[in-house]
Amino acid sequence: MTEASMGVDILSEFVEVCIHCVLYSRGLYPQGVFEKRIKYNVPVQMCLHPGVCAYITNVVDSIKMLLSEGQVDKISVVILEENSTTPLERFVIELGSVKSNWTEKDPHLFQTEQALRGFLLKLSVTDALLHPASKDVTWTVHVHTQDSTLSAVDEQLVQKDFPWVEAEEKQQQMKNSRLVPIKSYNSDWLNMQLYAEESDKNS
Amino acid sequence: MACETDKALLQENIEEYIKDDNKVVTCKWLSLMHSIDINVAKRALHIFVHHQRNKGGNDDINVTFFVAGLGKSKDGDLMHKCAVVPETELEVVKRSLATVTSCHIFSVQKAKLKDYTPLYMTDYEVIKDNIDKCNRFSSIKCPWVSLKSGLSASKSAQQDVVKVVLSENKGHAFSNKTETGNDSPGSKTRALAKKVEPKGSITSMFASASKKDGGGNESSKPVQKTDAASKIKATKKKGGVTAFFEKKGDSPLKQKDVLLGKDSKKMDASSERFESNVTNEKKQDPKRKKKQAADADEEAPDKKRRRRIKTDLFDSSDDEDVEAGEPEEPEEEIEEMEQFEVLDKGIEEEHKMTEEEQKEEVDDSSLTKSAVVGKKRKRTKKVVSKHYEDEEGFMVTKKETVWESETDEEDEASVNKQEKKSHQSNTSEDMGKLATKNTKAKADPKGKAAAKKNSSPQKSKQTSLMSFFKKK
Repeated sequence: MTEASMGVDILSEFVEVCIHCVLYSRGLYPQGVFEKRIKYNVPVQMCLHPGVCAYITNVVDSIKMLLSEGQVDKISVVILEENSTTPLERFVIELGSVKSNWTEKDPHLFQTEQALRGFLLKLSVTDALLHPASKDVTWTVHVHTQDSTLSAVDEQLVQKDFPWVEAEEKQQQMKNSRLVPIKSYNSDWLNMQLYAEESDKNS
Repeated sequence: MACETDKALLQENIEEYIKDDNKVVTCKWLSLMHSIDINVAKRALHIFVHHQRNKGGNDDINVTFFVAGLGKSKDGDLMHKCAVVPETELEVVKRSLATVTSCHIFSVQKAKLKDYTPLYMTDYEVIKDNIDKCNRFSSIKCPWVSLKSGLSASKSAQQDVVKVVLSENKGHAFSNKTETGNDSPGSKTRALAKKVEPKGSITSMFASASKKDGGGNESSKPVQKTDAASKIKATKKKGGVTAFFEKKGDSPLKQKDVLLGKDSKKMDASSERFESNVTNEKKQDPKRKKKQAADADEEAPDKKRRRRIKTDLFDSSDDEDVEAGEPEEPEEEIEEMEQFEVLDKGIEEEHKMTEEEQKEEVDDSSLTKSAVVGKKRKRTKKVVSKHYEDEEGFMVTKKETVWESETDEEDEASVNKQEKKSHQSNTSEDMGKLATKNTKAKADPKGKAAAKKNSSPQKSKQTSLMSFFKKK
């Protein structure tokens, strides 16, 4: 396994955990459908609903393809108002490019694991910085990438029966949004930051 | 002053952590981060929360408490419960506990926690950073525990590995030995243990008997009893040639036990009636002890066991009847055994004689009651002749002259002789048959008992004495 593919795997795993964590912390599903699992040696919440799990798995697989083929700028979990589908909150993972030879300084990935654990801890307590979670919401995942990257994996995505479409403009723009930084991480492996955006509509 | 400023700084830090950094501040985390005692950290958190609440307005901090106390389990048993609870449930949890032993702030954070995960994550990181000294600020300490250095730890680990390897090797060797059946001491002990456990009391009795034999001086009635019991049980299991020899001892043993019981009953009855018997009993007891001692001494080797069996036979014959007893005596006897036997016989004879005399004087009803006993007494009368023989020597005892001297029962004597001859021929044969013959011998005198009862015992005794003197 090359360092690049290993990095992609780690990143895609982290994205999966983050999605579950956001769904739990923002109360998109009742707490009963979540179960504690161990990831990075700490307990994390994972949704057990098969439809949700399948959807998240497909999203993560697609992100893995995109990451392996080219550049991915942002991965955001967008919480939308159910009726109007206007975005209320957005949890954004902003990624730099995965660097090469990153395992030399951290061969056992201790620092990487610790950093990802820190992200999860911050994510789990972010709701204190945000407005109370609103009801009647839905969610979706947006990936910011280049056209060339999307076209490279487009066929594979169709084959997987999970084609991606361009996000609606309405879902992308958030009026009077407020940025809440959660955590940033700079290392030899990756530069990454996590932040949340919330619209003033909630206030 | 310094202390006050430290506290103030700590309060500022806590506020910064919680409000600006949106961190979860647990007491442990605070203690380790600031290198302060855990109780100081708890107090600082308490002061912080107190200040925030006193400010009034809408405080945006959430507090979790650690509560410990005696509660009840589902089964209704008392148990010590420890819980980390949010502030809203604090009173509920406290009420559920019978006694609250501890209650302090566990963590303060801005976020409203949905589960313990963030608390665990917070402590996880700080404990991981201070893994070697994570409890240095704890108020729970054990002075005997010391941290090993890296070198000693590695050494001990190596030793453990070596020990494990050694034990594995030993285990293999042991298993091989047991499989092959080699007589290593370990396997022997194991085998012994295995043998002892299932058999239980019987084997333990054997063991105790053998131990007592080893002791030498220890000889008592329990030993004999256990011996007898073990023999009886053992003979049941055995077969073939050993069974033949065992039976030889076995049947008389049983009879002896029964008869001894009868004798003892007899003795009790007679002692109640006549004081003179007491002296006889006193005499008898030490002799029995001697017998038992001899038995105990002779147990260990097989040869001695045989001897003992013979003595048992002899004893039983003495107790039962002369007819059965005499034929078994002769050729095979050993001098020691004979001496013991003769002593016993002599005293028993005296005892029984006196008993009989007095009994006949008392009443007829007692005679009818002691019909069986009377038969025995008559038999013992014949044994009296042995007693005199004892004084002379055992060669004399074997002589038939004593029998001949009994003028009253010449017929009986002749019958006895015939029986004796047949017994002598049978001694080398199956002892089961012998036992039946003994019973026959018992049965025969029954018929003659009536005639014997008519004749006075004194007369017979005198005749025997006379015969003795005549010989001299």
